[in-house]
Amino acid sequence: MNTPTSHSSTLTSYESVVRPLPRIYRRIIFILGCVLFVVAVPLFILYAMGYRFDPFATENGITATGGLYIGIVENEGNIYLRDQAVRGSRIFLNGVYLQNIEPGVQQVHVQLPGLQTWVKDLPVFPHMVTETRAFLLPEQPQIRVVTPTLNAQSVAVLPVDFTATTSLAAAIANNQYIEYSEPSDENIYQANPEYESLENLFATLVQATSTGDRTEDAAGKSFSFGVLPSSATTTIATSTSIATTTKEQDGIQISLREGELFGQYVGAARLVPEYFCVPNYALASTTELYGAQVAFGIEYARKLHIFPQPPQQEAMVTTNLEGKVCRHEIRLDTKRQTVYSFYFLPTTKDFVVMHLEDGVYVVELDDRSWQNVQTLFSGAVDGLLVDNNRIFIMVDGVFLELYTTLHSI
Amino acid sequence: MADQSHLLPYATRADFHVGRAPELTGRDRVLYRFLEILPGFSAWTTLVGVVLLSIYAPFIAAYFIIAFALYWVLKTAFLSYHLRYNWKRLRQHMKLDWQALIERFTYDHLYQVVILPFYKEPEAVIAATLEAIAATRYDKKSIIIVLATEERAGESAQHIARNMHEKWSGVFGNFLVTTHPQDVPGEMAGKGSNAAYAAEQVRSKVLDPHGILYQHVLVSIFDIDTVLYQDYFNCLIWHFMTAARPLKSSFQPVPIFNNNIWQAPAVARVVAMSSTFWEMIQQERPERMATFSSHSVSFKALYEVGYWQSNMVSEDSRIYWNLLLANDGEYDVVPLSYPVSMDANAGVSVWDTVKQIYKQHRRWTYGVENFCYVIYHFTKNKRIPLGKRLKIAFQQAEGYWSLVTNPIMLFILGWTPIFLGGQEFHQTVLSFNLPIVVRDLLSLAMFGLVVSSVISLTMLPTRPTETSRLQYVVMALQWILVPLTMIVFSALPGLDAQTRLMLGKYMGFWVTPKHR
Repeated sequence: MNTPTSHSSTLTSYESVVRPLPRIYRRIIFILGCVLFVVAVPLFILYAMGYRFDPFATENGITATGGLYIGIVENEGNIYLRDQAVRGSRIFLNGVYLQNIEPGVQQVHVQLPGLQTWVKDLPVFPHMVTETRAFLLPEQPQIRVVTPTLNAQSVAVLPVDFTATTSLAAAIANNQYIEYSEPSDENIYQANPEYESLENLFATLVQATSTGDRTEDAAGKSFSFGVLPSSATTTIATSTSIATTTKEQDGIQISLREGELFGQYVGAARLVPEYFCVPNYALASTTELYGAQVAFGIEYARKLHIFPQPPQQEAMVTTNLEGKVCRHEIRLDTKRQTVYSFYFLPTTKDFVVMHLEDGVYVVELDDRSWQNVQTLFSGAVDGLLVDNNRIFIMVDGVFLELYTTLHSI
Repeated sequence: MADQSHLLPYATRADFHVGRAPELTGRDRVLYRFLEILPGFSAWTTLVGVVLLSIYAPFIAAYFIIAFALYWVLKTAFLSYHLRYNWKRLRQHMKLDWQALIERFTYDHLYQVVILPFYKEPEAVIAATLEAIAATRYDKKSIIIVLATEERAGESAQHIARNMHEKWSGVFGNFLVTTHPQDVPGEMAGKGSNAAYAAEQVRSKVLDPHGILYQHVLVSIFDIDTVLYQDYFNCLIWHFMTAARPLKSSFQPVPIFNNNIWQAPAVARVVAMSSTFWEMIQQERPERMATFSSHSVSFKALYEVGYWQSNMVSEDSRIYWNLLLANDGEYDVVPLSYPVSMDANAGVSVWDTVKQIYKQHRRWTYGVENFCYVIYHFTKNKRIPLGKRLKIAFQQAEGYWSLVTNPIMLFILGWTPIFLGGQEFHQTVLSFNLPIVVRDLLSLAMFGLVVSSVISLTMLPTRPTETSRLQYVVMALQWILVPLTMIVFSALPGLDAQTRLMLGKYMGFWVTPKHR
């Protein structure tokens, strides 16, 4: 029987070519990989937690850093941290994450030519990320005129007498972006259904005007930066009385009360926005880190312990939430003017569009350090309306749509 | 009762060819059922565990995910090293003159039996396979072709078989057409039962009548779309003659799924090449290998275990485990590092391709039934050293677990702490850095894909004249699909297969359609 047997002893130089990867090599690489893994895992975890090592530091080479997350609501902008341009990581589509930031109060501003600058002082804590949302509205209002008529191509046609109105004339003179088509004799005109719809909407619009009896105390203390007032309880209303007008979006309720505009959180406690709260470890320094107005609200919340019950009974019955103290109400900066009407900025819950005496403004709820207020339309308007996520105003009987993004001029 | 005298002692056990738990009784049945449940249960526990950990202990989940991503990078580097080495070896083997290399051996007493099980595949596919065998540099008179048809495939299959017999019977030493009867009690319709029937037929009709000793016969079982390279049999002979224990070894070529690579959609190409690369990696660590798809083995070894199992799906790997157990652990797989070409799984449309690949991979990953079989018999066959049993058990368990869980954990669940971790976690630097660190680590792991991309380009067959040169660019860039294919064609079908086994919804054999 001719049974095959092993011939390994007869192999020549060919053996080195055919032989599979030597086991000893594989073992060495495997062990090296294991060692690398054991060493690298803690380093990666520490890095992810915010620890940074500076081999050239004279003392304390290892530092615990924090981060900033800046959500950008309207228009992109360049981000500056303490006046230095920075580039962060895009984690989500509309936000930028800045890491390796030294703990302490950091000034952030976001700007771009043609847009209003957004500025904020924010505290950064070790291992923690401070979140905020920036908005940059156009410096020059961006306007679309809603005309009574359209041409055959459905382009709005601006009647000659429209340009005679004071506001529009001023707008054109200011080189604002205005979208319309000149009338032409060759065109066949048709009625603009959008105009008719706006006519009806503005006709039925019930403006929520302030009562005018703004309290001296409230007005006087607005947005001051100083020592926490000793009689804090006198200026924030504890009443649950229904405001004259209230708007609600995703757990945030905006209401007009005694001439002041307030943003209240009425959602689930676990989802309370960060700007309503101060972490326990920062309570002692709230004024320095966030401003007196926050310290005031927090102090009040701590004393009261129970908020006025919001509509959803589930919400915050206590101010202490997972290591932080939260207010449930923030007063908005109305520039000490009468508020005629207000809406949430379309698709947001942290920004409010206000119709004030001298124009239309957008204000952020976040009052840490201060509230950014930006002009959307400058000049007196007859009415403000947000319909289907679009902002309309009426000026001298003319309907205009206000764009929040920059259009080419 | 059938004669069992030719079987190895362990192979005479009543439960040696067990396919699933219901075939057993008493405690054995309970044990086997437990083993069937274990892989699916482990996979689901892991996946649900990561989600729960993300909710209730997001910091620990984040640490785990970072460690896991790092492990993945190192594993990718480790496997890429094996892949690159085997690629060099494969190329070298393809350049060698194997005929000259085996001249120093006496091998003219050896016969090559080639079993080609087929079902309803087109005649062109079978013709191409036979043409390639006929073109090999080997004495054709020593080759016995067994065209194994299925009765259930109907007259058209028989017609094709007759045509092939008529055309090729004069070329080879023998050309046997077998017809596996349908509806045999205790059998599952599929490749295993057909191949086992064909092997017995060739024994009784060719080997025994011609007095051919079983130890002088090498059986190669090829999928019907397998196209051999010229020196396959010479390479096989060289490895057979130089193996430490040739009659206790199976010989595994590298299946390259490139017959139709220029016609297949990108997703099919990536999946096909990935399967090839996995086999190439395994070739460099033969102690972890089991036979897969087309392979060769001595007839004697097959006869001693009663051929391929006819009552289960993944018979190509099961035969190795049968042989290992019956030989008390003294059995090897010898990597040939020599290719055989097969078809990439491509349907008539992209969607058809996606469905076909999913089903094919579900069948392949149903190989998890071998895990139950192996562990079950490891509790029975104490003659296999305990260390070897433990090592194989761990390798098998880790393999099937990671196949299903790793891609899902890396590419999907890696983000769950961010979304489910709650506000306390969400406000930490760790929460924000987690996706960045994981993203960067996975980008590093993508270097492995660059290696894959380069290697895949060198393994392409000649570009058809009607195909644009730009297709090379597509072939290089298609590897960015890997994260997707790993989930859709590896993890999900694997989870599907393990879940079916866990629930006792046993799978049947699904024949991959071939198109040319």
